[in-house]
Amino acid sequence: MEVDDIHEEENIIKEDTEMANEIIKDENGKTEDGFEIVNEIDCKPLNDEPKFNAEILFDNSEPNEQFLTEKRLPKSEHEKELDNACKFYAEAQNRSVLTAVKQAFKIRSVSNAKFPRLELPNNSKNIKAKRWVKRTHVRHDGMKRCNWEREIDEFANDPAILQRNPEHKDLLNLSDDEYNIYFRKLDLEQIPPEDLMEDRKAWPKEIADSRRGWTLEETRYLIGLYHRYTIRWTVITDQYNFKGLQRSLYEIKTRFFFVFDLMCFVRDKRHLMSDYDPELEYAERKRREISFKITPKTQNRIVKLEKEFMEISPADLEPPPRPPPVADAPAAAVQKSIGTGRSSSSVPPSRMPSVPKFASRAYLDQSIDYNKKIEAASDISFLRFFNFQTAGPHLRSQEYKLVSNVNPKKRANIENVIEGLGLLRRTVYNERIAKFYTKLSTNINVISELKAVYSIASAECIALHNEYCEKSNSQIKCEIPPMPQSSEEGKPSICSLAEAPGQNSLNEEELEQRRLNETLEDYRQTFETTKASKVAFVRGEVVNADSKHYGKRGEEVVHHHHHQSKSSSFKPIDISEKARKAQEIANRLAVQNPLAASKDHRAFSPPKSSVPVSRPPRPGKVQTKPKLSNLEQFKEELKAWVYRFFRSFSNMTN
Amino acid sequence: MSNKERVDGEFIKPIIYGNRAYRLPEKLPNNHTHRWTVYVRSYNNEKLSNYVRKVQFKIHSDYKNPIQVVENEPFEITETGWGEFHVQIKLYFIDPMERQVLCTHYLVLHQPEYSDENGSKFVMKECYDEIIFVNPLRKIYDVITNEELVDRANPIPWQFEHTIKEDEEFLESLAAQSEKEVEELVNAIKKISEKNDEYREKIKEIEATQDNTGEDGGAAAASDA
Repeated sequence: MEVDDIHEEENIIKEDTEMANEIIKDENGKTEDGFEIVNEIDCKPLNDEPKFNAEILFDNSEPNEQFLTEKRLPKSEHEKELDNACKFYAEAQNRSVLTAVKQAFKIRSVSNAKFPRLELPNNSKNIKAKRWVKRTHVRHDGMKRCNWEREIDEFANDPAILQRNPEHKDLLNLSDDEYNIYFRKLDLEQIPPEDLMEDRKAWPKEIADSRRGWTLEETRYLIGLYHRYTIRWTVITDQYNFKGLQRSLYEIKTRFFFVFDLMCFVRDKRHLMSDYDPELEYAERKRREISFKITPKTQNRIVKLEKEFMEISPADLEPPPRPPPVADAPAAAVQKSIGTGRSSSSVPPSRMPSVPKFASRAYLDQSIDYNKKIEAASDISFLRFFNFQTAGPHLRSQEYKLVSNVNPKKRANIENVIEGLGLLRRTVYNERIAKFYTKLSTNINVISELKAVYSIASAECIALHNEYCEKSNSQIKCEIPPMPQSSEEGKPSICSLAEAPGQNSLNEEELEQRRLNETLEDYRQTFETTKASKVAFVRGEVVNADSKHYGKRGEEVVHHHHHQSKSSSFKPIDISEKARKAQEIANRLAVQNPLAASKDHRAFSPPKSSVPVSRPPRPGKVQTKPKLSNLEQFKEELKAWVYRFFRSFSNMTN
Repeated sequence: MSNKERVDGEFIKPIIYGNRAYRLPEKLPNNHTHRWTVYVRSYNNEKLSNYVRKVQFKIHSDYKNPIQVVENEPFEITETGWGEFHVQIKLYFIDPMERQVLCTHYLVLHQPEYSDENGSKFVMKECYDEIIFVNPLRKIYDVITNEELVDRANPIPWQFEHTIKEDEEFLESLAAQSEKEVEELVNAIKKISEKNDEYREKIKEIEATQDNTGEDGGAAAASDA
């Protein structure tokens, strides 16, 4: 079967089914095409095998009564028609007799079928989608058909779908005489050529088999297939098996319509003739094939994509050039002086030399291009002054001002510097003064940016110097060219006044506050670790110095901090800082609570040996515990802990 | 029609704005201690009303009429008060098509003090400023460039004369200093970068030699084993 014609056939089948009107009941009560819904496993040859041989034609199936009552033409007129028909046959040289006949008689087929329409239930509101199931239909000879179909299909084997026009049935009852008259001459001319064997090798079977002529038997077999399967050419072609030979679909179609139309014509029922034109169909097929090849739908897209690819230039594919990566300051001591982060948000990061938070040893491989940094620092394009080119009047004093969407920090910076320089009074807004003023403010900005660059550079220098000294085991002095400190006449330099953008302009108080917060967080961590140690945090446990958990917890905490200090790469600083913070907190608490402080003095006097706290009370002597409130006790314990930390860290460093 | 044309160029008109304040002999019941006057005048000996239509003074919102408009010469307002604040001065020009200029002046009541001819003390602060007309309209241009209105022969003796030059020089020096510092910083940074490169090279050399010795040692160990 030619696979690519299936879709075409189905379309044509739909048209043709409208003509059919009658139900043909299968003898065995199955579907017309012999398919059954079968499990693949249980695929057995059925007992009720549909027969595919020509014998089926010779079954004693009684035709319907109405066909018997059909009248035939009277003989005299019949003969006239015969003569006409023979003439046409003789003259016609091509097989498409039908077109010639039609053209001669200008006949069009009229379809007068009344396809019974099934009225669907009128529930337009609650129409639910029916469930579809993928089912595999297996035929007895092994052919499988996997289709999606409704789970419960009311119309699956509805005979109304395959109804046929009862008028057509009679037309196809060929009698021998009729055959001899109409068809025999034509068929005899179709004796196949002798070089059939080669064709059989080259072509598929059905096409090779089609190269033979038609006989009466075969014609009757075909008509029988039609009666069985109605105009479903694909099915007919599939089931076609005339003495082991097959036919191609178009052969079958052509022959059928030829017979049918001729009989219609002969029996004076030209209105029933179909308008099948095998040449037209062939031409259509070829046209579709060619057009499909000419406009390849998938290839089109590929071509378009190729074009787009060609249009992309290699320059677009490269990522835009990024600024060189910033080197990281190595030493934490320098780090603290520089400060962290960037200050301005209005400037894109590539312009600002940023000082990162965390140190790493990547500086060795990366060399910072300071020229670029200098350029970036000197970039003052964001520092926009009043636009005094616009038409209309303005005051000179307005020329001094920076546009308001310049970073307010920068503006404040400029103000501070100017104040520091002693230029407080601004009573004169002269042209020259305006010029100098703008220059000064831009330079202030540049200086502050360069200051940051300078600090980075110096930090890097120190780091490299240190590393070099380490590796070469030599002690050389690190000489960094200094910043401009002060000019002549004792005036302070702008450098000293200008703030680097990364610096925190915090006062000392705020720094203190920060440190306190940090220590608070540390304490919270320590307490939380005790929480996490699967012991419910009960204040009494902490307050109670004699509890057995105390020593353990202390160890835990010490371990925790020890671990922390190990993970950070700057050992000495962290620990000393923590110790310092701890001391601070202790001092603060001591200040708050003088009573506890006095207690502290006693607690702080260290014993010679590290005696564990959980010492059982001395027997006999009554230990008068100091009558402190719970809160005070708590504070006291806190202080004791702090002292313990301090001691532990100092022990580690020593 | 010709009034709507704009004349290309920049034209400068110097003005003075400021305030004087006299201390009242007695404190008023509403706690006002000073009487002050805020004014706008032309630097040159000319009438400001030639090209200024009106002047709007915006003073502190505590006053009954915080926005006061003066449409005639002299362009000034006098009030009593006790506190110092910023005064916004808006100049409207003859041609209403032209934009207004805005400036602020900090009203002083206490500093700087000057002595009057009579010996009474008063506080005065004045600012020298310039109105720059960029592409002015015809009407204003005519008035501005009309030299007949300006009496250059008798300039008004302002207080600025000696300070202007000082300020100019001071700022000039500051600007120069800033330039110098920028250069110095740049040079310093460049030197440091050179040093950094030097150090980097040295370190690489040392590391290379260390690696070589390490490799040799390793190879020797392997061969021994």
